[in-house]
Amino acid sequence: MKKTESHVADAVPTEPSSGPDYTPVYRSAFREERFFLLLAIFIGILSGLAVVCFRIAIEWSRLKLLGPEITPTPLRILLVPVVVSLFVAALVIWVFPAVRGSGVNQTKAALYIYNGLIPFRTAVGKFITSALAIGAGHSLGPEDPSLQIGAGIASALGRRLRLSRDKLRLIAPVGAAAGLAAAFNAPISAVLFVIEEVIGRWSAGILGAVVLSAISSVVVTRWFLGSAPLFRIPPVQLIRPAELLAYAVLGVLGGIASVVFAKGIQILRPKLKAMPSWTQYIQPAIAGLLIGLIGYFGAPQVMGAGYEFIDQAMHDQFTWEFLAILAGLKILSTTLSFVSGTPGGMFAPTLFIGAMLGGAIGGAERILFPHLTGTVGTYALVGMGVLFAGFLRAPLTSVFMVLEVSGNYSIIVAVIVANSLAYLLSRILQPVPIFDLLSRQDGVELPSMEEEREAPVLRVEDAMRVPPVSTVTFHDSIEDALHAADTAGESAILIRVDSRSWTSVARDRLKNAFDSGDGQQPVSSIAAPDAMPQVYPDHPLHSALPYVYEWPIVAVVHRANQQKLEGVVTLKDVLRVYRRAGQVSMKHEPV
Amino acid sequence: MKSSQEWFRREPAIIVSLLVLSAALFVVTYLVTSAFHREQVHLAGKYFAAGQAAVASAQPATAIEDFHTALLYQPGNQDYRFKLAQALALAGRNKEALSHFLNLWESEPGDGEVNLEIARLAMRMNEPAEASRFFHGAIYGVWNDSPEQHRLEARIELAKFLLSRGAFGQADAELVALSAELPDNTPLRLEVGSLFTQAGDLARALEQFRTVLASNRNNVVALTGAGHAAFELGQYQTAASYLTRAAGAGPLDSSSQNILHISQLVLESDPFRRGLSSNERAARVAASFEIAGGRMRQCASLKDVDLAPPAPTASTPLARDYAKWRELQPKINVRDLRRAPDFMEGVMNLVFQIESDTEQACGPPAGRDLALLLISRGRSGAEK
Repeated sequence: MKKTESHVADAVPTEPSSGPDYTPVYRSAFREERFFLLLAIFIGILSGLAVVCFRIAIEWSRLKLLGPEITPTPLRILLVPVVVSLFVAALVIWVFPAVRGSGVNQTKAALYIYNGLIPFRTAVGKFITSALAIGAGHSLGPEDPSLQIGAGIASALGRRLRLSRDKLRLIAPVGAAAGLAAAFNAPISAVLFVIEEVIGRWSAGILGAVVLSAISSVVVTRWFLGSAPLFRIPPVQLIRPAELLAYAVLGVLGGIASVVFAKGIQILRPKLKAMPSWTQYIQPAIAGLLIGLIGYFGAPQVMGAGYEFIDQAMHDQFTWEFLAILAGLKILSTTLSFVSGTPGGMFAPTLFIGAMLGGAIGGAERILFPHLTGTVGTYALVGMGVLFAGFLRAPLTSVFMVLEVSGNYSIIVAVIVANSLAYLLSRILQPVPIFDLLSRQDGVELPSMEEEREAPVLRVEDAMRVPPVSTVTFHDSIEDALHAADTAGESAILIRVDSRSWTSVARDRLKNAFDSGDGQQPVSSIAAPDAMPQVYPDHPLHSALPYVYEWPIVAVVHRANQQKLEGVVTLKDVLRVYRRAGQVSMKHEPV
Repeated sequence: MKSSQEWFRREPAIIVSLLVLSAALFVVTYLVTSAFHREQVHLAGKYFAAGQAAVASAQPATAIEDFHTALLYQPGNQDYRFKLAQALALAGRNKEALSHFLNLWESEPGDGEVNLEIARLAMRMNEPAEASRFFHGAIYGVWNDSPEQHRLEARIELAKFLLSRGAFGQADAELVALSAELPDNTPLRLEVGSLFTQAGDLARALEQFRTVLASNRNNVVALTGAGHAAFELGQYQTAASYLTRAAGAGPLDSSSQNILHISQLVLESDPFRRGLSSNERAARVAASFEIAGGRMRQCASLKDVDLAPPAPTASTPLARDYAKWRELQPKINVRDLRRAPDFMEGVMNLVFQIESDTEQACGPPAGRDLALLLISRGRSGAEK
């Protein structure tokens, strides 16, 4: 059986509970909203428990496979990644085909394509294969799999409880936030990431559920694993504003590194996917062998998630030259692990690369400019945020993540400066963000959160025209109304129903009524009896669409004085604006 | 669509089911994490013990690796991190050690031991201001066991550090604070006395040595220390007394012997000592006069200065002194001196002038000349 289909596409619904036969249980909107919030707490608890077990599984795997020492023996470094990768590849191909990839796009696909479906089997498969792969030394992280595990648990629960389709779609991101929060031990960052990258919108309802699930999962995680951070942050502070220039340099170089990282995946992944299907059994093993060789020849720090080495880098354990080497080798090893199809995430490697790069640049700058007061730890911390912004393209999350992890607000300005530069540079040199890139390579068209963020917001005022000079009242005659329309040169006429409401009628109808001899009848005899809803200039343009279909011309009134007519808008005006904004044709960067 | 009654029946059941499920999974997770935690504690302890053994056998590199591994399994363990930092410092990896110590300091800024280690690192990294700051942190910090002892030791270490940097005033201030809290401990007092001597506070140094001698009359270190201090203070009788006692207990070092000898010469030469008869006083003045003359001639010969009459222009101090000396020489005899105390004063002033000028011209004197010079300094200090 050929197993070359995309990872996301493999998550095609196979369970009848998600297909046309899915029958949700009736709940009123209010009840379901409340129930959803309560469910979010349970999702957080269950996801938290699952992620705790997942993290323990990774540690157990590492302990048993690579041994207890912080630096494994040479034999284990070379053999373990290869042997375990063969086993993982077999599991992925034969048992869990949908577990390839990081998990973020799979969760987005559940939201936008598959009505919230993530098969529970996928969550189980992700748990097992990622734990083995990361524990064996593949350069991948546990956060993305945790995100997918949480989403899978939430999806399973939602289907079991027969939520409405709307809520079923949204429940996967709720679980994703819980999983990510538990993995990171950082609830705010997890919530922001899911909203920034998966859901793409802020609404009170979804935000509440996401926050509840993230917090409850973090509470559970800290109950079992303590509240100690993944790596210890040394004292950080920004003493002189002039040192922001040093962090700006880090931002620029981090942006370039992000692009190199993304380009590597962009180029290699399609090549490996295009190879014969039998090679998928050995691609992870070859990647494991190459990573093992890197470890054998002096850089075992690139194996696994690498949090303990981030800790060491922050505490001046390495020279700046070695930090730079580690950053480059981690880019290489993570690219190899990821493009070979090994299940696992990119968050931890991104932080690792950022920390090493930041430390290297900080160390080098301190040699060139000894008066700089920032420690290597400070630069490493900012570097993590830089790579997060430049590679994962989550600028808001990157800033809050650094603050949440360090608990120190004195470097916020440095973080914002560096992250912004990295993000902008990455945006220019690599227009398609990494997650969009991966989904398009898989042949799946998911909405790009970055493009949606940057899309211009169209409002009624963009389509609005100057109001006509003449309008008529409900009691005016058809003849007078026709005359007013002809005077204004409009295809329809506005009719004031009362002091604050309007309706309208097309000129053609007026002409027909006049020609039929009803010219002296009041215009109310042919106009729609219901007044049109209030439309204001700041309304989103799409909200006016139902009205411009219903009425030939729509009145736009002033918010503070509904008697005052601000302008008018028709269907033609709305379409003109959309066409001009270029939203009819979408262009993609070649992938 | 099911009826609205369906959800009314289902919701409580769902919540109860979820609670039961959560509780069950809680138990499972607890068992899993407990088992792993036990393994972590075991491994952490094992590698920590290995690290300590490596430190004991002077293998800091191995110890660092072991402590790192121990911290991998118990990252929050402050004792492990402390030992790792110490091992790094031992291996000369000061920056890394400092980073870890600062991490510990961030969570426990009042920890005396951490402050002390940071101070020592700062000393090694040539950061005196930081060293001083953290030494004070150690002195006023919290110590788990024997806090007074540790504070004393920290202050002594700080004083030594300040002395090594030439900050004698600051060192003296620390020693003064230290001496106020000193327990009745002879080695400690001797050490403090020695440090006072190095700081130039001889009076306090002498006080410390006397305190030791009060309970142990024959302590040689105290006797020699006191002798040296008394000599520097110009208390030659006291110095001679202490050093003579020290000599009685065992052979003196060359410096102490020299000081004793000079003290004795001062005592033998000083005509202004109390209790002398007028005859003895006059004899000393006459002897001093001759000694000064000899010193002058020796110095003039060394510097090739012509002291001969009839009337040297007396352009040099040496020549001027010699002219005066020659003028007085016929009058110097014990009988005449005995009758004229004012004249003795004048003669001694000339002697002191000669010793001072010859010191400037020909370098430090020795023997009786040195004794006369010391007597003159003592006189001028007393007059001030």
